[in-house]
Amino acid sequence: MRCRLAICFLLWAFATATCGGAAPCDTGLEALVRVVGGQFYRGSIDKLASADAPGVVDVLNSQNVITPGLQDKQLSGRLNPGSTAVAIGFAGDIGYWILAADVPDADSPTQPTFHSSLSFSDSLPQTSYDLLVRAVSTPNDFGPAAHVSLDVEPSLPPTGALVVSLWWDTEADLDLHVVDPYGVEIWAGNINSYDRYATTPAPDAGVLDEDGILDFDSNSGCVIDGRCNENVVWSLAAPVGDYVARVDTFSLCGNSAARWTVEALLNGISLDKAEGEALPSSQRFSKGKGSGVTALSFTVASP
Amino acid sequence: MKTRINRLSLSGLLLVGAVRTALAEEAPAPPAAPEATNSAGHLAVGETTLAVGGFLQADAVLVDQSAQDQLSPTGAEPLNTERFLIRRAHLFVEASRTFLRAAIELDANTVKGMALGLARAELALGRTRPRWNWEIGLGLLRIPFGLEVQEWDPDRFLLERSNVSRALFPGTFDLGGRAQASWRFVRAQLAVMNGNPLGDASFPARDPNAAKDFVGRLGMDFTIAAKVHVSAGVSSLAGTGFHPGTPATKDVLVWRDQNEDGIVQLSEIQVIPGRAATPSQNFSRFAVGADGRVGFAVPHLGKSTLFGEVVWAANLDRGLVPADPVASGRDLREFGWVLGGSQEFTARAGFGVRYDFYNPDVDAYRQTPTVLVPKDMSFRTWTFTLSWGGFAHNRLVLEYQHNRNALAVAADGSPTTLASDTLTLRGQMVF
Repeated sequence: MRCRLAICFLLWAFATATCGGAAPCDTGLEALVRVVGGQFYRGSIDKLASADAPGVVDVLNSQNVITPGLQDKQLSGRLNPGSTAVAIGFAGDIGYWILAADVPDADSPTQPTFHSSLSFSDSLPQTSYDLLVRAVSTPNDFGPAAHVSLDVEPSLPPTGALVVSLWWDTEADLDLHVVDPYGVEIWAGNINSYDRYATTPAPDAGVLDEDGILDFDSNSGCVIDGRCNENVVWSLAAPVGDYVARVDTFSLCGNSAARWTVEALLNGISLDKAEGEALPSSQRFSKGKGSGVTALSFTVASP
Repeated sequence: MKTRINRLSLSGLLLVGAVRTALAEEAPAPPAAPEATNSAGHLAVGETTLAVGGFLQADAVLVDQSAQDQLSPTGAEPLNTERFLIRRAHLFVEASRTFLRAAIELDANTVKGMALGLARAELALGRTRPRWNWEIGLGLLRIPFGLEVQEWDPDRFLLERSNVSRALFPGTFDLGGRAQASWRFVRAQLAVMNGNPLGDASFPARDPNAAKDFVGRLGMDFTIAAKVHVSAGVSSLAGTGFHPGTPATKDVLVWRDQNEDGIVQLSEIQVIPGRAATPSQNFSRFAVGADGRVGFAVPHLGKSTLFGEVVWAANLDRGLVPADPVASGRDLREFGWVLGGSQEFTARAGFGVRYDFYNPDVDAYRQTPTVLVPKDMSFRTWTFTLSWGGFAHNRLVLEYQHNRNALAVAADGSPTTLASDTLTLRGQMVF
């Protein structure tokens, strides 16, 4: 009898306590698009519209082309009066994101605004996506969708006569160093090979097109940009001779390791490829010109 | 040699018997809830009595709504919390000689990976008599505030302390000095402490400022008609918190790809100017609280306990939503209360329930598109506990915790509960 009483009380207490909804604790990392600071809800954003809910006035988007893994894409806009939040998500994705609306701009004082920073999945398939933006008003009424078309283009290595690429798998600061046949080292501290013309007067701009140039110093100083990729590119023609590519572990930025790959492509054809791993011990060597471990040695022959 | 050991063991056993008899007969109520040394094994070495003991709490988190098979996107910490863990594995040694007492207690756990540390280290001078006693101590001591903070972990019927207790006192031990005394039913405790207890979010077991926290409790503890036991008191804390300064920074060039073409353009490079270092600052904080507990035997049912505690504080949250009035530009007032009870159904089974409320910032507000509105930041938790075990501290506990908070955003942009209910099984043994 006592046990039955206890169980009945427990069930009653459980039912009383658990009534009421709660938002799921979900990082939304599986979604194709993510909104920084947003609350993720699973479910389709496509079918949420309510007849008399306020809509989106306009959406400001600077580029319709995105790449997999792109982060910090700015998307902002204005909402109709009465809106308290905005829902953002890809049509057909596993969920959508809710962001509280911001205060109106001075030039449209009745229209709430929204400001979002979007990130995209690294495994985003190469196709076109329909990004839906819906205004939401209390109590949870979703307005008609504003559509933003986004085309996904692969983040391919840049094209050129000779491309030496380095990419790695964690948010670490690795640096690509390439020594050309003239002995000039191209790296973050000397982003092109023009110092073989280290004479006055300075070379013509056209001459620089013939040189190798580093396109980006990724994750520089552990300011993470998400690229984890650096390329040294000779756009027109690569000097004939021997090259050396090195990988310098400037900092692992708190990661335990970074697995890297270096590849040299001559007119789109792979000359050589190497893989390796940067460990905490790799950080202790001095940084700058000449630093790093040798990943590749290759030769460009005369055509 | 063997004879000597046998004599030592015999004298130890005799002393254990004598101590237990004395505890049962005299029962001079100590001024504070002591660590349960009477459940430990005792040994006499010369004039020194050694008590060795410990306890183990092993948990299995069966369900946690906040658990995810992911790593934190920012910190690479596992987000899964449905796991087996050692919540507490304590081992202590306590030595006493005439008026002196020293205790060392170690804690091992796997809450955030394998950890081993000091849980208690105290040196005390005191005297105990049937109707009164006093003690002054120094070291890593239990903080004399309220009911839950002073409860020995295995004594607690529910698995963990309430939100308000864990927020204001993230650890129950702090470094300092303490004086405590009791006379008949009156209990008094006063301590001067660093103010950064074990578990503090910023400087655990350290003290970044010279000012100390004064904390104390005045209470009473008595029995009515030999069946109803009442314990009640008021507590207070007055202290000084610390706002860390910032180091100097250098000018930094930042590239923001505003037109998203992936090419660095001069107009997209911004300068974030360096800033001079800012000094650290102190701020004042306080707490006042009242607590009560009533224990009585219900005929044909078993022992019942009702307890409650209420705390009003300012700038004291050091665990859940750390309070920093310098950073926020205003004082952060905290308010919380706890109400609960437990009921034994047989000699082996028991049931407990607790409701706790904690608001880390009663003056919080949020900006909606058109107006500034008050924001309810409170944490409300229902806790239901079933306990089974034939011995005082050795038991198996199943606990369901239903949490309400304001950590998520509802579809209309208003704050709502982030689901974080848990179901936990714990095995506990004291030795």
